Amino acid sequence: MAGEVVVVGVGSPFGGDRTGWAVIDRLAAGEPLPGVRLERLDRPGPALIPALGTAGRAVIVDAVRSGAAPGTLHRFTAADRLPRTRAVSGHGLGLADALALGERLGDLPPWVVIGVEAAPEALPPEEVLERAVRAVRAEAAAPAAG
Amino acid sequence: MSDDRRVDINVPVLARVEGEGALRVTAEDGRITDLQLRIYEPPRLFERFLVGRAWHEVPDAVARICGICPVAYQMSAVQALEQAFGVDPGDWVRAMRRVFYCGEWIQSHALHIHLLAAPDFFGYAGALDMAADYPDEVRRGMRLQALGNELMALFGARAVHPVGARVGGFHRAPLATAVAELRGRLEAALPEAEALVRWCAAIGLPEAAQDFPSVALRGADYPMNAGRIAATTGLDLDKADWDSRFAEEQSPHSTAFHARLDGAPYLVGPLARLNVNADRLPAETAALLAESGLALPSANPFHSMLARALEIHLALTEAVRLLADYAAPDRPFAEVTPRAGTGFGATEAPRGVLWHRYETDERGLLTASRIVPPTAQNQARIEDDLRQALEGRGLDAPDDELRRLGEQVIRNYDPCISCATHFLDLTVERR
Repeated sequence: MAGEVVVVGVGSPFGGDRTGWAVIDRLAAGEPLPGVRLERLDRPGPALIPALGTAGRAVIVDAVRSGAAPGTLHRFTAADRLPRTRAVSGHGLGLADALALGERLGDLPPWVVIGVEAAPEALPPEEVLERAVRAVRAEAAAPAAG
Repeated sequence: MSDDRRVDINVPVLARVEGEGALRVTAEDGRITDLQLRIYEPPRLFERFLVGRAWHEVPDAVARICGICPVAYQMSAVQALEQAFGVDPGDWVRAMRRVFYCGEWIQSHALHIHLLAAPDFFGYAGALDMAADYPDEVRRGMRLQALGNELMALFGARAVHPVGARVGGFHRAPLATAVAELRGRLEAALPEAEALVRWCAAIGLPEAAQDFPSVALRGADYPMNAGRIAATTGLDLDKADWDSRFAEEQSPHSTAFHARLDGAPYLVGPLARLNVNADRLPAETAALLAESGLALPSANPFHSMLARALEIHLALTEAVRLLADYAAPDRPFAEVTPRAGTGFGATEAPRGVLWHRYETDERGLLTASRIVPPTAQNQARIEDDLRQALEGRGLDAPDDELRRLGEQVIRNYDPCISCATHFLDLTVERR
């Protein structure tokens, strides 16, 4: 639906990589967000593109390791600014490559990535997740420019 | 070796495969004297740490071996353990396992064709560049891949490391409403798969005529979860007799084994399956094969991409057929009583035959485990192919060109280095 906002949490079931899903779970349990669709993806990969394609706007939340202090929130709006962890491989595309491919195809709505600096071993503390939830809510409600 | 005439190239060559390795080529007077596909990804020791585990833990543990083909690992494992315990999972489980496997073939093949292999045949550096000129094809590939993932998740609860399979069957049968909804979309995708086959058949391929045996399972149907081990050489072997004809050996340059059939390299995977089993294709897929003009058995490894496209069509056709009149059974698994025993599993992973052997004690704890993944089986064949392809091109060609050709040859096998434990710096030494 063209006016809809989709919020996609990217992650996997264990450790810090679960951050994206944990944020979606907290959004789902919190105040309803009218006009917002919540999704959990188990790898960014090419599935990200159809997941975003029908929405009017997209907010993506994912765990990030950039070397910043744990709990730091990052905001990305350009694929080439996102950290690239690995080359395109049989396991699919990383988030940056998937977004770059979607843009090359011209299939993406305006998007923003909220990256949560997380350690691989464990989910970030609740305080960090709550900050990430607030940041995602704010993005979903009214996008800041650029 | 005269160092002054030695050419060393060290570039991370192989993107678009799974895992880490390198290619080292030594050439003298225009002939390759030594070629090593070096696989240096550390060994993962999965076989060893399955020992001591209980039978019911095995399907979830082996799914972690590979993020692309977890279903294959699960299916070979449950087959082996069911043989060890004398369990017959029944017709419903057999049919639904085939559907589950179809999902994995569709997602793995669609990803490989569109994002990994096809850019080579058009001279693009990668999928990103190809997407600008072939956006509809790339979109089609992504839609097909997503459908494959959904089919895996239907039975496995999720596409990555699915958790739905158990020894004896499935933990839970999918809801009929979910099956009907997805079946409709699978059926609607058949024209896309037909178009994909025609597209792949029209892509100009490098010529190659190489002599290699093709090894695949063979049974009543195009093989996934069942069949004897067969080859274009006439081989017809029970999975339990694997060691009588196949041998694995270690090479100093690789953390993966090299497997050989009667001492010689051989091919497993989509083209090998098609070479052995073209007469087992459903009529609709066989018609597309005939239309493509592909003559079988093919001696050109580059026909693997067309074979993958045909197998996507086959997998969609099979899933649509097997999910018609779907009804969830009262219990989606057969009861399992563990016992001491030995069991063998052989199924067709997207990349080829995946063979398992387990021994259990009377409590059902594993006392021995062996896993032979497809990429380890293909490693010697890939090295042979590289020798022929690079010499065929001429070793006086610029290193960049040789590297590109080497990568194309290797990627064509869709090697899963992580499974085989095992990519690519190229070193050419010319003497």
